[in-house]
Amino acid sequence: MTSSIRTQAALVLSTVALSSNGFAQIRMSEPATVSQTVDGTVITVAYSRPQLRGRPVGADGVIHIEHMWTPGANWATTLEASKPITLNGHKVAAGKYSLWLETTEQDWTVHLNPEPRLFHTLAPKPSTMLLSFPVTPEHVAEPLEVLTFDFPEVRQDGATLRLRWAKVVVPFKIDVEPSRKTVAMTEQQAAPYIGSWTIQMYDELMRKSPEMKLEILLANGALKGVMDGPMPFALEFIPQPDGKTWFLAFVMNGKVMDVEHNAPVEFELKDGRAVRMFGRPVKGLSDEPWVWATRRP
Amino acid sequence: MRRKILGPKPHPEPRPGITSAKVLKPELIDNPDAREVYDWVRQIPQIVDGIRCNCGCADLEGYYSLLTCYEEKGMAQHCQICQGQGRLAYRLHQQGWTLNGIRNAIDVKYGD
Repeated sequence: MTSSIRTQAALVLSTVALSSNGFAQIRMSEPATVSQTVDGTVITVAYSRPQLRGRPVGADGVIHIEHMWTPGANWATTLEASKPITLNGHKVAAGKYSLWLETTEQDWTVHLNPEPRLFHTLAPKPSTMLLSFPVTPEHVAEPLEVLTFDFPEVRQDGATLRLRWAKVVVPFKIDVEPSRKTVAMTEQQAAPYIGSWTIQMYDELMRKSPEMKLEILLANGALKGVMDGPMPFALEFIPQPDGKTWFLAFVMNGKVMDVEHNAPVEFELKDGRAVRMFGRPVKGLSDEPWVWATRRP
Repeated sequence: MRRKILGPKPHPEPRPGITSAKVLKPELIDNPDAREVYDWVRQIPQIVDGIRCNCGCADLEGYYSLLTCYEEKGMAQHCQICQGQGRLAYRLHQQGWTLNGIRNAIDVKYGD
């Protein structure tokens, strides 16, 4: 009997202890992270997400008037960029910053502070800000219950970061630096590759294309390829530092849509003239080249 | 007019029944380096008439296509872009390229 009571008591204590540990994880404003990569630049917003919970949604409700606040809760919301970006047209160096807002009835100002680890009640002085710029908030009819950052638009050269809270939406236009460095190729450098080729490739569903005519030419200092066939894009050969391999970029409407980083292409040269081109097999996908071409006589 | 695949500028549609009758005659060509490309263009008017010239002459009055550049007082005699486009169009046509493919190659090589 004593043993049984002791066992039951131990079980109760154990349950209490487990429950206590579990509840300790709950936060009024749960932390979240949203991240977007654009052309090799990683943009990350880390924040805690307050909820309306019936609070007034208007000015001086959850939108604080006349004093600085962070769009989040607990520790200040941070914006981190792995490479330099522009934020609404303002240059921002790579780094992690805390994000602050100053709002009046009419005007909103966004501040970036170089100190990322700041508690939300300890807003930094305006003089310490790295960058401050005005924004124009948009207003929506239906309030959003949970403060949310997201990236509703991703472009080849940037993205839109959006803050939504209560009835307010604030979009931020972010532009990234292109990863591709422009290296002008001379006619002499391009000469071994220029000319008429026959090309075939697999598409993303591993369907083999028909043989297509490919013309490799030098245009605006870059080695480019045009195909006469059903594929509605041009190619650009981007030389790599090893001097041997090239990344193949797919171009539509004059814009690079995709760069195949995982499987670079190589040319085989004979007497200083390229006679064959092939794309290295994509590991885990196929043992065959994903693209291959031979020079036409 | 069709919208090209690889760039923002449209190419003209070849005019039905177009011929090279107006292309400058060899004896009227001052620049000997340009004679060969004039001969080539003369052979494929229906292709060259479907290509937009990228040298800027497309804005001139009376312009319709790259073929216009080779007609009468067109500027192809002394314009490297008009000549380059004509050479590329001829070479690709000889290899069996479609007009669309040739247009795309012209766009990549000579487009903005």
